[in-house]
Amino acid sequence: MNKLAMDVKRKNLLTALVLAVIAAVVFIYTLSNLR
Amino acid sequence: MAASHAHDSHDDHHDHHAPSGFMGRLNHYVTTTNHKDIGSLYLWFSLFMFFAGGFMALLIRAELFSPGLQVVRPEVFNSLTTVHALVMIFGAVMPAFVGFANWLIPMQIGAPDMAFARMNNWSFWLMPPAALLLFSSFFVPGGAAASGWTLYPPLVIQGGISTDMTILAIHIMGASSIMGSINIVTTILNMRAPGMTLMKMPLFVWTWLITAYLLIAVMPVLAGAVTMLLTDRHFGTHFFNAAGGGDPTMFMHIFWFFGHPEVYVMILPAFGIISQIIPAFARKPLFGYASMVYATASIAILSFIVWGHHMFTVGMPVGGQLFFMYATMLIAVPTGVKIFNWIATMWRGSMTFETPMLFAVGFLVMFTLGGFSGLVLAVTPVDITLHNTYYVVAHFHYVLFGGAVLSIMAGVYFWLPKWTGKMYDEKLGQWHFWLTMIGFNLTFFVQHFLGLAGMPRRIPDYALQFAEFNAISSYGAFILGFSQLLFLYIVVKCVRSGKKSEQMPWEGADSIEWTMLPTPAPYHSFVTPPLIK
Repeated sequence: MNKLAMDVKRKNLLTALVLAVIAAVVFIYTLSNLR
Repeated sequence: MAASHAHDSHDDHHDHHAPSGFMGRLNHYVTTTNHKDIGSLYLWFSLFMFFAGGFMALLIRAELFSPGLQVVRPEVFNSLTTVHALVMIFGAVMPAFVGFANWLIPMQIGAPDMAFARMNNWSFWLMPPAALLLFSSFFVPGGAAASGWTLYPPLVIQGGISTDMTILAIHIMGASSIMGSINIVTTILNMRAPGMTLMKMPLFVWTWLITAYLLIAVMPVLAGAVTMLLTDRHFGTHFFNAAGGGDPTMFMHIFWFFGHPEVYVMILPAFGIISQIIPAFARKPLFGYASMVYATASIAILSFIVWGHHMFTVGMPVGGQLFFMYATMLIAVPTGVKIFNWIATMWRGSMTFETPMLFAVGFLVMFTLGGFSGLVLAVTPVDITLHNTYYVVAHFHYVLFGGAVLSIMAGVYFWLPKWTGKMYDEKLGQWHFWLTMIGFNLTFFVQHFLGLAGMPRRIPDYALQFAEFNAISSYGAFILGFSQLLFLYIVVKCVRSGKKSEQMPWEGADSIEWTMLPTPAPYHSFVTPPLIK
């Protein structure tokens, strides 16, 4: 795989990671903010 | 950026011909990572669910054809309304839009495929087991979930094992949605062709970008809500049990914090589809592109602060009622901008009315009616009398069928030539449109009157004075339901034996899947990225 393709792959994974963390935080916040 | 996908000479030598034999095909579709294959899977799955949910709707309308109980037992009726909603929302409308997203987004931004091709496959193949769970829950002791799709406690706490099956199905479909959304956002942000700036993207891509963010923000909230239901049912917690110090009202707040943005998840991609079809048939560029983008974003943001309008009758401070009422009315402003832009696009255009345009104009009128009845319901004192009546049922079917489903039909007719390389039967398409419109309005327009007269929803029997309008509604429902078989016939006929489509069947279409890719679209979209001027 050439360097540009690797760069896009890395960027994609980073984006997905950030989005997944947002989803996880929302989920945990929903559960933990309740009595 | 996307220049990285310029691995040349990667084109025809493994252009995948349809594998032979049933097992070959099954293996191909179970393991495929191609965005077009997965898009087709989503669309066929959605059509199947549309018919399954439609079958339940016809059972409901058959029961309501006349007063008294004749077709199903009352508890089955409750299950039918519940599962009809869940199937149509999570099984038909959302997967249809995800199918469109898979087919179109890579082609419209000049990408070779979705960012995460294998996760894309997984997102789809989570759906059939979830559907199976929902359907099979009809056959367990106690019957399918009968609490309404909102799953309100305390009723839902008392449900049988089918409630757990429904919760699991929602978890699975939610996970699929979140993965799909992450895939879509990543694809759009990172894989656009050189020169395809955000403000040059086709509106369908824009609306899906915003929708995907909405999904990432609210699907985990639904997952949290149903997880708490599950622990309340089986693990001794009291999140929503007043006897244990919990609060059933809290569930409603959490549910509708998800539920209202969910409504926009089902309508924003529709806006995107319509924003591409109307300019193509008016032969004019879309009026007010930038304002369309900002209006979509505004609607999405506002959708987070209006959930309380579903709960006016639950009880809340007057300040809260006023806040949710005004916030809800505010949504009419960006929505009005969109309607205005679509009409301005048509203004003095060289219009023709092939089937996609008919459905698009049908969408415009029906969705606007649904929007207006939404405004009526936004007024707190009015809502307090109309809450839980057929007026609400009429309202949200104008928005969801008249809005989302009509746009899906419009989009299918519009892009079928691009997808298959063949044309559908125009005459039959027009028949489908008119039968759909007549059936739909017969079914749902009269429900406004029923609601205003006080007929409650989710009840299998009713007082005698509602008989005529209910009979009309049921006649309409059967016309509407059976005319969708024509849609199935048209699509199958097109795929099997349609006439060859021209490269540009719609001369006014201007997004790059039409102008830069052959018709039918090749198996791999842009192997080398196009240069967008």
